[in-house]
Amino acid sequence: MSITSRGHKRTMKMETWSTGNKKSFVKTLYPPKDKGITFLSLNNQMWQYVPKIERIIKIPPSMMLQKWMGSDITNDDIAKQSSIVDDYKPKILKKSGNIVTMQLTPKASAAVVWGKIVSHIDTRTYTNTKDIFYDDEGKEVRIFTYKNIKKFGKYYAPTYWRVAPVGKKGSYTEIVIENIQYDIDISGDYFKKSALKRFSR
Amino acid sequence: MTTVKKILIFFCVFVVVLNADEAQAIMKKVDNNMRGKKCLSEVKDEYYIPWA
Repeated sequence: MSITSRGHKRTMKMETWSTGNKKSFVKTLYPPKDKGITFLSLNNQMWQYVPKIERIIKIPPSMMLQKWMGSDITNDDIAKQSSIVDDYKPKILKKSGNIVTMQLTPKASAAVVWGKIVSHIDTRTYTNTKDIFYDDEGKEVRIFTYKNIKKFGKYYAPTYWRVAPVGKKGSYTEIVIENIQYDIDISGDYFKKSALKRFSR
Repeated sequence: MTTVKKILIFFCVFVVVLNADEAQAIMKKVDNNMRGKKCLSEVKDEYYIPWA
């Protein structure tokens, strides 16, 4: 993941494990100063372990819209990475060739932060090509662009993501996914609070 | 209400329902691709991304 802001660029490397739609674990590998910082998301709650101070910190709800590791993705994106299907009601806006444009509006019962999301989907691979996130007032807040679709086993995934906040010229985050392994056995130990420290090394 | 009006209302509701079903199906396929959950009984819903 590369974060570019005001002409300054920094790169990070990490690994992610996830199971179901409510549990994920992230481990930072690079740069050396951030190595071993871990994140655990369970049922939309989030914890962070910082090895330098040997502390587990719970990310409070008020911090969920803050930048994750200084990038243009938020803590909420990490904790609720899979809730779009559950929390938003989709509606087809337009079909143009293989691209379907969908409008996702929050369900009445959903506790979400976006007013709506407009998603462009390539129906050849059923992957996103672009997502535009709007606030409650209908103002564009950020744009995700996805490229380099690759097939991993029987699944397709975009391996290049670009996240750009609207109105902040020159600021963006790029994510390159080098590999994905689907449907493998992952120990349940990764999704316990003890994992934060245990798998930090 | 005339029969024509009833048919028109039925047609509109039918189109809206069809659109919602198709939209939901597309979103589920996208989600499956992102999370590897093709079918709960068929495969495990687990994935691992080494970013490095």
